[in-house]
Amino acid sequence: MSEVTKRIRVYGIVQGVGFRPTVSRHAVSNGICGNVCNKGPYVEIYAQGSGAQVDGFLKDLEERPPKRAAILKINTEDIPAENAPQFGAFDIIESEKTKGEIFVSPDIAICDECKEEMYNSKDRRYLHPFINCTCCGPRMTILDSLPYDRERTSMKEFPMCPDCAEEYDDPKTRRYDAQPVCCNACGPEVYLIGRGERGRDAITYTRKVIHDGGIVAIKGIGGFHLCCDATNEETVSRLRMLKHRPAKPFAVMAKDETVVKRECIVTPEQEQILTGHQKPILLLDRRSNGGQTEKLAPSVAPGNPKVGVMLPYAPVQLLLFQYDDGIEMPDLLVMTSGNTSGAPICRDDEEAITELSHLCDAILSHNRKIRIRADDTVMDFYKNEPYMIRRSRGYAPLPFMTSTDWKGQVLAVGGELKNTFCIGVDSRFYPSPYVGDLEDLRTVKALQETIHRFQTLLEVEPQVVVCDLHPKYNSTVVAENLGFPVIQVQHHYAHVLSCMTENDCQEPVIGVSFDGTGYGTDETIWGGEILLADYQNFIRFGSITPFLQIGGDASAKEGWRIAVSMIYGYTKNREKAWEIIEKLGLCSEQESKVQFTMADRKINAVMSTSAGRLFDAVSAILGIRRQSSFEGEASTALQFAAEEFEQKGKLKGNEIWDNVQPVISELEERCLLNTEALVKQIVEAKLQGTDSGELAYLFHQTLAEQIVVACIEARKSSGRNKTALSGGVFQNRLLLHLTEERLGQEGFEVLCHHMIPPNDGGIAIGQAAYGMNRLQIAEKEI
Amino acid sequence: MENKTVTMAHGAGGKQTSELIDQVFKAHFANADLTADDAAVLTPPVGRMAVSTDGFIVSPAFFPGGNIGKLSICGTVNDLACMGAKPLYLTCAFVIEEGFPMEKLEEIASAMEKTAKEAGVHIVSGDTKVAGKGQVDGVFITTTGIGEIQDGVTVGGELAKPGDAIIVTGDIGRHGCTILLEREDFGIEADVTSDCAPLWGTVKAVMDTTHNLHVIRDATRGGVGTVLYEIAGQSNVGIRLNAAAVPVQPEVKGVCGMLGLEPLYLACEGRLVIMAPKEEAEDIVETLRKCPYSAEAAIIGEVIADEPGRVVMETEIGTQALLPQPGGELLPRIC
Ligand SMILES: [Fe+3]
Ligand SMILES: [Mg+2]
Ligand SMILES: [Zn+2]
Ligand SMILES: [Zn+2]
Repeated sequence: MSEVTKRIRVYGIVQGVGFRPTVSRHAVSNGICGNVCNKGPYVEIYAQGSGAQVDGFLKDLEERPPKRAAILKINTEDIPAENAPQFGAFDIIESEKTKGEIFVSPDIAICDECKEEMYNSKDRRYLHPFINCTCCGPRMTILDSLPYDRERTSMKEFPMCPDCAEEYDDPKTRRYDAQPVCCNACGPEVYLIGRGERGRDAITYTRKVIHDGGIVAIKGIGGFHLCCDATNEETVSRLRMLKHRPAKPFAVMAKDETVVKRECIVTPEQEQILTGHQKPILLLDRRSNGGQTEKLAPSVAPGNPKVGVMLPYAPVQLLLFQYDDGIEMPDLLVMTSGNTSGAPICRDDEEAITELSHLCDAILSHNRKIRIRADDTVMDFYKNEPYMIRRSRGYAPLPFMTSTDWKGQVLAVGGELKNTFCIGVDSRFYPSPYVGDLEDLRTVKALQETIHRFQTLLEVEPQVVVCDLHPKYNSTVVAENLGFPVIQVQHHYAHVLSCMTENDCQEPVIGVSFDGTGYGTDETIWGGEILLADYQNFIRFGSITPFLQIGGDASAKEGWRIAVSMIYGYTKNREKAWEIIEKLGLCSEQESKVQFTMADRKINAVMSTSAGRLFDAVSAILGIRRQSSFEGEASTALQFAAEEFEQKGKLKGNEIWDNVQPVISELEERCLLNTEALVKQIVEAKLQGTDSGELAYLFHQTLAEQIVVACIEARKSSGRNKTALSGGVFQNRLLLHLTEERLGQEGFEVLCHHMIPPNDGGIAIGQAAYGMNRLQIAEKEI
Repeated sequence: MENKTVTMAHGAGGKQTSELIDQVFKAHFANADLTADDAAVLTPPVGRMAVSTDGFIVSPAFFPGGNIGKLSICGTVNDLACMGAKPLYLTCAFVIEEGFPMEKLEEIASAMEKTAKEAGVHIVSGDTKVAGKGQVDGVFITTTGIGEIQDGVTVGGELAKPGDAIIVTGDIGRHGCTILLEREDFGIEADVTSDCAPLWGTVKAVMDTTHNLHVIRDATRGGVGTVLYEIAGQSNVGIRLNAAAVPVQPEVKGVCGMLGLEPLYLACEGRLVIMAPKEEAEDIVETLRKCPYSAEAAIIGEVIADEPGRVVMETEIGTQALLPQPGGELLPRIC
């Protein structure tokens, strides 16, 4: 029998997922000798045995990898007999650090086996709040550097007890080589800040406070949450008051799937994600309004047909619902990010004390340090597929791969709100976890720190840093201070590029970037754009009709200002405009006069094509929301009104307003969506007493039609047939659906987002792809 | 004088020019040092001297709380005062639009007289030009001031130190707000008057309280926010503001709310920003509150080592907003 020796390198998420033990088991079952070693960028295996044995081993490796592994590539090389060392057994050898592409595993929700053990009173990990195994537990959030080994995580402070060490060393256990393994004897401990209780007592105290209607800050995997009984209206209202958050929905954690199904409608596809190992917050439709079985307090998500729900993913969260102290707990808890307005989620005791003490009645912390913050991921569904709203815990920093042969290293710092950054290495793009809104100093610092951490972790020295074009974004300042060459990318172009990159699209597209506001290349504000785009460049083919955005940042929060400006814009007459404004109840005469004068004199007024503001304005005109207390409040309320109307089934076929000519192109060098006429039409119909819900729907439908007609024009002039839909406005699934459907009917190929958010949380990857492409051009030119 | 308005002849250098100077300017500016000759001859101040010049154009020239005359004295006097210099002498040059009402000119000169007197400064030399209709808007005034630097105090924008308290001598944004309301027909009935005032007395009182001062700046164009950014840059320090402590008149707040403007970036013409070691702050504020133009003085923040070059505003709800850098157009940043 001739013996063969192969060297196998496995790339992907191969660290911290029980890869080596699985390899070892496959090796033993196939009777081969050799070894396996974590090299950092890859796992290296030497396999020695008969040809058939080695083949069997390879087949097992490919077909039955560890549950949480993501194999991206396997390289196999034959070692000539004369060079091959003689192996007597199959060993797991210590990690070695090798340079090269590195994959960091996201954090993984507690697995079923661990859950079962935790509630088994005979098990030595009975009720252990930090139970984990090779299939589950914290990963990215505890990581200092790679390769992933206990001494390079925040678990290094907790030496294993002999029992844990035994499991860790035994390939037959579920904890063989599981880096964060621990137990009641050797693991981290929970405790209450500022009180004596630790361990069990701390958990019981926490449960008691929540049970009695109190609020507790609880340290989890990626940061603190503020937690309270989601079925207790009084408590939820109190939390709203303390958090200065009048209406923005709170996320909810449900005890189990049954509870979720009691409150919400869950499709099979959603169920898979809900119970899967990432455990994001899912935006689910509520069962019905005020159904008997529903228990959620009205204040959790006021006026919202949906609610954001997740299941427990950290062991301590399960213990909140079920423990052996006899306290009867609610089966729904509010789990909102533990931060003060503007700041990133708290991740250590010091932050929790300064920022959360005044928001809660107790703080339950623990002594396992969080190295990198990870907010909960938020996911919507579109056409039975995930539609990402905020990509963070459980997903970041998994890379996106493109089929390009790009080479180089770039850092893209993202936008200003919902910031995430992205590191690009060759044709792989690693979006960061959610950072937050950079208007706040603490979030800017978090961005700087996290960038630094990721650069170290991924061993990246960017050749170029990419940022937005806006001169006053703090992200632009951060980019400029990093000390690398900086290139700027127009905001809405970056949105389109992010959609292209996510879909690995290499052809030029017609980009439909419908968004809030961004800085345009002509120094005005953009936001409802039709862009002919490829990775190199873009042409502004069209946009919605420009209007004056008056009042700076106030105009982004107060849609009535935009409405007044638009009405004044098309009437061009103070008396006429005021007559309409008064009837619609948009503002006082005094306020309207101020707006008119500001418009006439261009005081704090800039030309804008923001689609987000257009939605705000229509929402105000229809009397749905005059202004927003949180981003998107007015526009989502408009969407809900339209959807409600649609569901009532009062629609008479595919009704498009004939007298709104969809697109005009004479006025500007570019094609204009005739949104001004659309607004005028809506105002007139509203004044004639048409139902707001119907008008909200017609607005969506007509706008979608205008987009489609503009795309047809763009196709005529460019010959392109592929469209890419991006920008925060496409979080609006009704507009997305109407647009996509009509584009499809017109024969367009349509790219949408799935795992990258259409909002500003997604632009970093587009910026990164642009930067990477630029590096290739620069390379060629040299 | 027969003419009811200023004519080109008033600027031609002849009889009518002399008449204008004698009857309008000399009548008001008369003092021992004022000269009719080509140049004033003065005794130089003891020690170091501060010189400052400023041009004033303001539309409208008359506004609640003052006029361009008062402004032209305050502006230069305050610039000197901010260097710790006692204003001694002032020169002024007028460019007057043909057809400007004589009565108004008289009013401007009278305001200058009054303000100069209060500031203890002598107007020593002047110049008058008349420009054709439409070449200037009403009247432009340029003043140059000479001051005597008081010993023992060194202040400058580059001297702010972490730990310094930041004091503002009164409610902010009033001048800018007043001008905006006067200039534009918003139809807002708000009772807002300019804060325009000469501040040497105020500075003197502070300097008499302590010599331990680092920065004194008058927050004119660009407002307090711009001044803070300038100092943060010059001294390479960070600045932390407590939003709740910044004094703003409710009317100004209301107008700003309506217009979507930030009061920190509205001009003041009678407000100082003072930075001094924390331990001096209470005494300084106490002194200021006894002075006529700074009864509303307040500590609004502190200088920090962190975040050099940036101004951070802590709000009541706990946000730490990075104030947008001044300059350029006001562009919404919210997506
Ligand atoms: Fe955007
Ligand atoms: Mg000056
Ligand atoms: Zn597990
Ligand atoms: Zn143990």
